[in-house]
Amino acid sequence: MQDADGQAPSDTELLRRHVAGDSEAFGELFRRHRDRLWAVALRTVCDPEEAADALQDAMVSAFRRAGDFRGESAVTTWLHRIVVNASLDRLRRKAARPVTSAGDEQAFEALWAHGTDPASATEVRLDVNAALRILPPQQRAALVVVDMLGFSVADAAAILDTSPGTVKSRCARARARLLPYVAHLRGDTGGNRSASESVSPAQGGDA
Amino acid sequence: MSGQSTHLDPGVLAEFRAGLITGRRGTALAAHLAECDRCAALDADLAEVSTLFAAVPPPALPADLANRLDLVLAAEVAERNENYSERAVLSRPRARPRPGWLAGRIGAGNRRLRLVAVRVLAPAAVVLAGLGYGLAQIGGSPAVTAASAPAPVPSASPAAGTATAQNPHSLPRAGAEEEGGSFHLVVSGTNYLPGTLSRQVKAALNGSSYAPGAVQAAPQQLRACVLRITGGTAPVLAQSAHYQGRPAYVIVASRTSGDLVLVVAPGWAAPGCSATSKDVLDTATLPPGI
Repeated sequence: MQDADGQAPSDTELLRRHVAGDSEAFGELFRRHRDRLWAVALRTVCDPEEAADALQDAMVSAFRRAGDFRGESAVTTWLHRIVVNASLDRLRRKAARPVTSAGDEQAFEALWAHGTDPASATEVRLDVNAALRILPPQQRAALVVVDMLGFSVADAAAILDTSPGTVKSRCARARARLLPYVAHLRGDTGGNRSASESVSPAQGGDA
Repeated sequence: MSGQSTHLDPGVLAEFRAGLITGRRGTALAAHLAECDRCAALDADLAEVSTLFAAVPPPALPADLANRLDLVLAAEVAERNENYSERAVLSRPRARPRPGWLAGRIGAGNRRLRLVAVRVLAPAAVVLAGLGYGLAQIGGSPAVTAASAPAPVPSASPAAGTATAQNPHSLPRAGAEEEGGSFHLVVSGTNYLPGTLSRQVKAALNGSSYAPGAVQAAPQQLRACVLRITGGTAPVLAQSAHYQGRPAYVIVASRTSGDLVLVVAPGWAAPGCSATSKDVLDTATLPPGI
């Protein structure tokens, strides 16, 4: 879809056209962002099927509620907010699944230990989703939006419907919680620092 | 190394890094970090948590989900256009209520489907045309109610025989453009399977072996649902066949980026054209030029 001048219409323009009745505009807009929106849903929900349902819920919701968009934020911020809300809704509905229990921590340990030489921590590959699963949903969403997607704290606050201070706090707690696993995360994401360079809270010390 | 007996708590350090601790306490923390190797290393690891997560490549949107989203969006567009149409033609009598479309998920109320509405669906085809993915599978629940198994209906179209010569693949072109949106349904003995769906569909499109007389006019409700998805364009192929041993319709919609294959349970061809995974059994996209 291009304008008369050959330029792709802006997100705002596409949303305006959708609200005005254009049948193609929303599809164009959503396709433009759905890869990132999928990343948000999957990382936040940590379950592909639930995340797919969350993304579908969000898409339908955005389609129908487009008229409510008032332009206080960017369209992409608005879309992310709807996806985060749909994802957290999914998690709430699936509240029976513990997300921070000792059982999950054990599953996490089993994940990175599986099939590797325990003596060689640098070879351990940690599944990022497993790491995220340790976090409470709100902290996870904050970490995903800020650290993984690179939104500013201000935009993240709009997406997460909270204050910038709360975003910072949730991110800080999430990072601290993941700190013991940084060496393994390093293996998962291709970092190359050796494990000996890091100091884990569990190692020695006199704290 | 400072030799201090007290090191910073990771939570406190993380808050400091996030800018949540300032003033005199922040100054004291900064001073400690400058002197304490252990806490400085901890601080570096905290910074690396963010760096590592930022470096994780984003997950690819699965092809089956992309297809599913396009189908749902096409239905949303159709729904809205239908509503526009209904508002514009207030004098026309309303059709029966729709019970099924994404019921429960969206909380569809008393929405209605009317065949005349498919005439305004053309833009939905654009949504489908945006697909460009390979073999995909939706949902996967094999639960199919056989109560409304696709059954051949007496051919009601005088054009049923003339469609045969129009298909470049020598099969009767399922969607010969006819007034009223009618197209033909091939009654096939094929049992489509998840792992071989694309190959089987290609064979069906390229093959010429079908039993004489096995071409029927598509039932009205199937026609309505297919045209709803294709945006009013006749499908390349519409078969009454089996999928994993159970009755199913196999629909192939032509698109510039590759034909879309849709395998649906008989229950799909009902008022509302359900898009739940119970009724949409499988999808695939065939590469262009098949």
